[in-house]
Amino acid sequence: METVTLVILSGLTLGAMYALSAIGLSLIWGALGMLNMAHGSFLAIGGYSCYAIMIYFGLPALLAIPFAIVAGGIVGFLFYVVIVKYMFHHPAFETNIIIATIGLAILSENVILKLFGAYPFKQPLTVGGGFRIGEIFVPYQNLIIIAVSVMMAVGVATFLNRSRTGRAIRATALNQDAALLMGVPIRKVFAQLMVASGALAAVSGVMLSSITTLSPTMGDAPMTKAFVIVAVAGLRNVYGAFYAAFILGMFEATMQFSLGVRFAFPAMMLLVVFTLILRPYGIFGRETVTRN
Amino acid sequence: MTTPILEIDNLICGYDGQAVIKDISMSLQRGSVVGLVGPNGHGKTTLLRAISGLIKLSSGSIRFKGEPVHRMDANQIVSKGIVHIPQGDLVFSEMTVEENLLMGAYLPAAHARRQERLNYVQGLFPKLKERATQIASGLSGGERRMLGVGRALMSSSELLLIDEPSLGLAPIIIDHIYEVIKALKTEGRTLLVVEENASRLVDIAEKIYLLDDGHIIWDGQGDDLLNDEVLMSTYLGG
Repeated sequence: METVTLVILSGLTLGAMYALSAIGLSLIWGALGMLNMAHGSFLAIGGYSCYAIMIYFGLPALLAIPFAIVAGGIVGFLFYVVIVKYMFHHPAFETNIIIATIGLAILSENVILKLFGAYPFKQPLTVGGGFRIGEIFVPYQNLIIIAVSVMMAVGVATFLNRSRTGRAIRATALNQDAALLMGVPIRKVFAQLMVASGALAAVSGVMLSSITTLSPTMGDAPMTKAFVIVAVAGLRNVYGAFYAAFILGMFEATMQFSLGVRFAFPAMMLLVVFTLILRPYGIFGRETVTRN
Repeated sequence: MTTPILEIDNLICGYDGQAVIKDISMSLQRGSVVGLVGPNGHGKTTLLRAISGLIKLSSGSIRFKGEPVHRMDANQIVSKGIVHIPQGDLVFSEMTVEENLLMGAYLPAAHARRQERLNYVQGLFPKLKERATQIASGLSGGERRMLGVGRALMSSSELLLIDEPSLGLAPIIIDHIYEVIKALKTEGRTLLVVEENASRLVDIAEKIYLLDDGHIIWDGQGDDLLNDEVLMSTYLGG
C-alpha cells in the first residue's frame, strides 16, 4: 500500500514538473511552428531571477515571482525582436529557428554562468512542511507544484479556447494568410506569444528549481522531456500535453520502482517510440503542422 | 460620376521578381458588381492578392475610397473595409464552424456586433447554423465554400473580393452561392468576382474585365462578351 502511495505521489510530482516544462514550449511550437531550443534557458532565467531578487534585494517570495515573470516576458520579447521578427516570414523558418535558438541557448547559459558561477544553488523559495499518509511523507512543496501546473494548463487552455485573442492565436497557427485576411495583426500575435511563453517558462523555472537546484543547465533535462511530451501529445493541444505529462510521469515513477531508476527513462522512451509509430501526429493530434 | 470605391493604376506585381500582373489599371464604382474573367494562370488570383495586401506591388498604386492602401499590411487593409475570400476557402480546419465565423468578426467594430452578424450569416446559410459546433475539416466542399463566404460576411466590409466562388462545386450549390452574391449586391456592397465561367457573371455584373497574360485585354458588358465568338473561343474555351 505504501509503495502504491509513494509511486502515485512521485508520478504526480514528475508529471507536474513535465507539464510545467511543456506548457510554454507547446504554446509556441504549436502556434508558431517554432521549436525553441532555448526553452531550457527560459526555465533557468526564471529560476535565477527569482533567486537573485530574493537574495540580493531581500524581497519576499510573493514579490520575487512577479519579478521572475516580468524577466521571463522581457527575455521572450527580446527573442522576438532579435530573431523571430526577421525569420518568421521565410518558408525555412522552422529549421532556421532551431539553429538560431540553439545559439541563443548557449549564449544565455554562459551569461548565467558568468553572473552566478557553476555552483548549484538552492532556490530560496521553498515551502517547508508536509503531512503524512500512513508512513509516507507528502511535502507541501510537491502539492504546490502540482497545483500550479494544473492552474497554468487550465489558464492557458481557457485563454486559447474562449477569448478573442486566443482564437486569433489558434487561427494564426492554422493558416497565417487566412488569419491576416481576418484582420489579425500576426506580427503582434507572434510578439505576444513569445512574451507569454517566456513568462510561463519563468514560473515553471521557479517551480522546478524549488524542488531541485538552480544551475545554468537546470533547464536542459526538463526541456528534453518537454519535447517528448509535446510530440507524444500532438501539437496545438495544451490539455493533450498536460495529460501526456502526467501519463509519462506516472509511467516513469512506476518503472523507477519496478525496474530501477536507471531504466525508467529508457523504458519511457520506448513507450514514446511505440506511441509515435502507432499515432504519428501524437495521441491527441489531428494532423501535422503546415505553414501556409 | 462619383469617385470610384477602388482605383488601380498601372499595377505591376508578381512573385520572386517575376511579373504576373503586367500593368493593369481599373476602377470599381460603389455598389457595383465587377467580374474578372480569363484563362487559368494569367493573374486573376494574383490581382486579388495584391489588392488585399498578401503580396507587395512592384509598382503602381491602389486607392480605396481615395486613400492609398498598397503599402499597408493585409490586416490593416481588412480594417479599411476590403475583405478577400481566397481560393480554396482557407477555413481554419481545426476550429469549429462557429469559431471560424467569429474569426470573421475579429476586428473590434465587427466584434461588438458579432451576435447580430452571426444571426445574419446563419440566416443566409442555414447549413452553417446546423453545423455550428462541428470541426471545419469535416465539412463538404460546398459547406466549406459557404463557410468561406459566411466568414467574410461577418466583417463590416464594403468591398468583397471573391476568388472563383463556383470552383469545383455542384450546380445546385453554385446557384445558392450566386443567390447570396445577388443579395449582397442589393444590400449595396461592392463586389469584385473572379470567375472562369463568364456566363455565371453575366446576370449580375455591371462590368466584366478580361485578363490575359497579366494585361486587361477587353472590358465591357457581359452580354457583349458572350456574343463575341472570337473572344469566347480564344480565351474562355467556349
